[in-house]
Amino acid sequence: MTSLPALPTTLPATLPATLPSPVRFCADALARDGALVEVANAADGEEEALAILPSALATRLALQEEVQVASAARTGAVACGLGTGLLDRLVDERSSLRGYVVADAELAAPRASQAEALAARFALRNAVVDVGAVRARNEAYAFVGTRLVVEADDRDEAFEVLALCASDGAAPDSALVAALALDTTSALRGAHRALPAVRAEVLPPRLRARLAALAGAHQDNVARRHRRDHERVDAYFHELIYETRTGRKQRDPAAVKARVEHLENERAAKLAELRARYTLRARATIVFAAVVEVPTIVVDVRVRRRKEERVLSLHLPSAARTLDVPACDGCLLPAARPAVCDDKIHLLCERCAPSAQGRLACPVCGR
Amino acid sequence: MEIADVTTGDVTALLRAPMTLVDLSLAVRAHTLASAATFTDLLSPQSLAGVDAHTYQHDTVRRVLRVLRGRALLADEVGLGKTVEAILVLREYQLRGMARRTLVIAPPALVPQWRGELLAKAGVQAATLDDHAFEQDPAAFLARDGVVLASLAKARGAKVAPLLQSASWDLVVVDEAHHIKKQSTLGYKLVDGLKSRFLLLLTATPIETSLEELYALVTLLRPGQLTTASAFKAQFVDKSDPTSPKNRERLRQLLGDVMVRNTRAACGLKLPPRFVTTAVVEPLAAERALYDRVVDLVRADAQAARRTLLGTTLLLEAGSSPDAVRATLDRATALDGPAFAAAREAARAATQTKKLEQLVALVRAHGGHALVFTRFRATLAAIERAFNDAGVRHVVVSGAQSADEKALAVERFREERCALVSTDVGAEGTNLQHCNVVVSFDVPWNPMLLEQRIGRVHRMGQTRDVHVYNLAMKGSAEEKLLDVLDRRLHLFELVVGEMDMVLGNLADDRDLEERVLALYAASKDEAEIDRGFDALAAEIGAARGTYENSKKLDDAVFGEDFAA
Repeated sequence: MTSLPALPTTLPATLPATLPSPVRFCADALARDGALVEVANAADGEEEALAILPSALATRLALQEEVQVASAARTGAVACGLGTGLLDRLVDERSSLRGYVVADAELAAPRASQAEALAARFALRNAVVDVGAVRARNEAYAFVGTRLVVEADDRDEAFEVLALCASDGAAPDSALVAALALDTTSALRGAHRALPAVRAEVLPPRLRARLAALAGAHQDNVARRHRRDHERVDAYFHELIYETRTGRKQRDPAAVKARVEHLENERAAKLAELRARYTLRARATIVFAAVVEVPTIVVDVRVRRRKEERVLSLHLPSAARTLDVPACDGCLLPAARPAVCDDKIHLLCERCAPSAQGRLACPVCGR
Repeated sequence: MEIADVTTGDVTALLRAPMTLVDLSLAVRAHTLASAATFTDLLSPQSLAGVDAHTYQHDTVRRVLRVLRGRALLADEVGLGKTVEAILVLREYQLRGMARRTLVIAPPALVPQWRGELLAKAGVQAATLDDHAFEQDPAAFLARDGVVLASLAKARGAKVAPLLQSASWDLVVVDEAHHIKKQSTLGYKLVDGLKSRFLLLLTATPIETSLEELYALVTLLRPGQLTTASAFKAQFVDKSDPTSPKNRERLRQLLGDVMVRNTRAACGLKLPPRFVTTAVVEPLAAERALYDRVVDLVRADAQAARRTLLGTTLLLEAGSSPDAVRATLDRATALDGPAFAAAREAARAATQTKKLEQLVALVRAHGGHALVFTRFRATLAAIERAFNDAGVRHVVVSGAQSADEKALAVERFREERCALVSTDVGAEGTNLQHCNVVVSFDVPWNPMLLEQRIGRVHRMGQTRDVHVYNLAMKGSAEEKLLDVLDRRLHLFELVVGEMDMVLGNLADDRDLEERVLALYAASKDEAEIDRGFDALAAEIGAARGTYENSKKLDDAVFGEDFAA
């Protein structure tokens, strides 16, 4: 295992566990490409969609121009459940698009008193915090869609949305992502303005940490299977070599030597093949970003440590039940129980500053 | 563990292309759907067209994916659909992004069948080593994603094997894996040297003559699973009977880690019996004369070493109907010579066939509800005319029709319980179990085609006895072939798939069509042709014996212990 940590539990892993309706997805995807679509409930309660396709689209998808789409195969309807050709094709097409959206959240503003109360409970492990000014404003948050894949002789794939405050990289409560309903965009309104600056440098370490967590869940099992196969193959070739050397047939020593050499090479090749098969490979692909302005209460807090002090802005966005978790200045991961360094009051997570006693070694200051 | 690096560049690149909220909503749902399922819910069954996989096949696929982790010996009894299971596994890995590069190795005769099944059932366009692109640039060809089909004969060759072995595969499927059961063979060495995460070996007969064949196959999948060959022999092979294992319980445990074998009995798959009747029809004089002229033409062409394809077609057509021969000769206007002139003359003279009368009588005897096959469209038209004249209600399905037209005809066939006249291509992929009578108006020389025709009604879901009639003109190649296959060897009594196994055991790997034509082309007279069919009967009889012995052996060793 690498030294990368699993993410703190406060980091939102954000999408709903329920699967989107394949029929509704296909209907919307066809409509996006110019089809006239009507979704209705069939007699058995399952959703169905009737679509009139432009001829170019019908040709591209090898469908009739008038097509009934249903979740399961039946006469007169094209199936679009998991694993079907139509869903597979549309999923491929829609998931290959890359881009960003700028939007406004249509959510009620949070209460200032709630934000102030939460800020009053905001604690640092080695510093004093005084609550200062409280104000309401729209704050930009970035929601970054990411495909995570971990692969060896097995494969695990996940789709996650990492959320962060665009200005400082703080991680918002998962309730915000749920409230924004990115899968329906029902709480979003498109906005025509320039893309705000996003603190993108916090993403790579956070994605690496997610990958390590995902891979970690498989590592023991993969290692066990690798060990088992390695031992079996190794023992097999040992036995073959032993039989070659001690076999009843009296052979020419040169022939025995050549045979042993051949077996040793074959063993090395088979073991190398096992290594390749059981190497866990993890990768993340960023697939979209939505930068959304969210009504937010900002609370300034004054952080004092010995002779130094610093003002931090804490955020409570709409729908959130907790303040955003600020980014560690050292590793850029969310710092759930932060401490600060003595000289510059850098905010440090428990991994960067495991002990808050005495003078901290600050990875940012380098001392 | 290797964790690919993620950079801020990935984000900044993304922030150059604006998208709409609708696109965002679709993207979120598309990615959620794409990374949704586990192997508990198979995706592949829905991705296959025209395949209604059985529960045991689903269980097999789950076992291969979840327990055997993609390295398995699929040893179902014949006719239980190993190919479908392999395609399900292939598609499951494809849909989950785990098999971008797949190699399928099969005996040469099965390569076109695999290509067709992958396309028709899974929509997968497979490349083959016979493609021009492979000849041009083998390395580039083998570096592409997708499915590559290779005949074992070509793949094990000195030029091709190193290319296949230097490529990196996600999944390798070896069909009829008993062909690589000996460790000293090139085929075994080829597969042993392939680099692949997943490996499926398909065979109904993992043991044909000795337990060591099983050892070889298992060692390909998991080296060391059965220890070394000598230790395996000492532990499991009874010297007095090399086909009967010692320490059965231990062997059963070890095989359970690599093998699935579903049996007909365990799957509860029992089909009603079928009764096959050869109806030999005495030809009219003009019909007989036409047949003789076509045989003369085949011999003349053979002497001149030309046009074997045309010869085969004409001889098959002569066994079907004069209309079929006439249609071909009318199209071949550029061909001349005395043999052609005589054949054309005879075709003009032969305007009727007695087989039509026999057909009408047969269909009427079964209440008018029968499935009639012919290979030729001209014959199909003649049958239609005869049915119209006799007042037999019928519908027609042929390759010339659209999918909707075919579906409509099949629907009428079911609802009106009339006759359905179809070409082989026309009825492909349709299940017609509501009917229990199959008439082959003409008999293909490849018995597997006959099996496919019968299989349209003699399949799961059939509840009644099935009656099969093969019409053949007396003295024709079809009559002689049916005499061998049916009367002498009773091959049509075999269960679905077994005939394939028997014919796969023939020493001569030319297909039967080629061999029948060669008999006619090389013979001087009828007696010589008959001797040729006798030799063929002896060869097929021996192949059947070999198959039945190995089946007995496999049943004895494996029983029902390895069902999914």
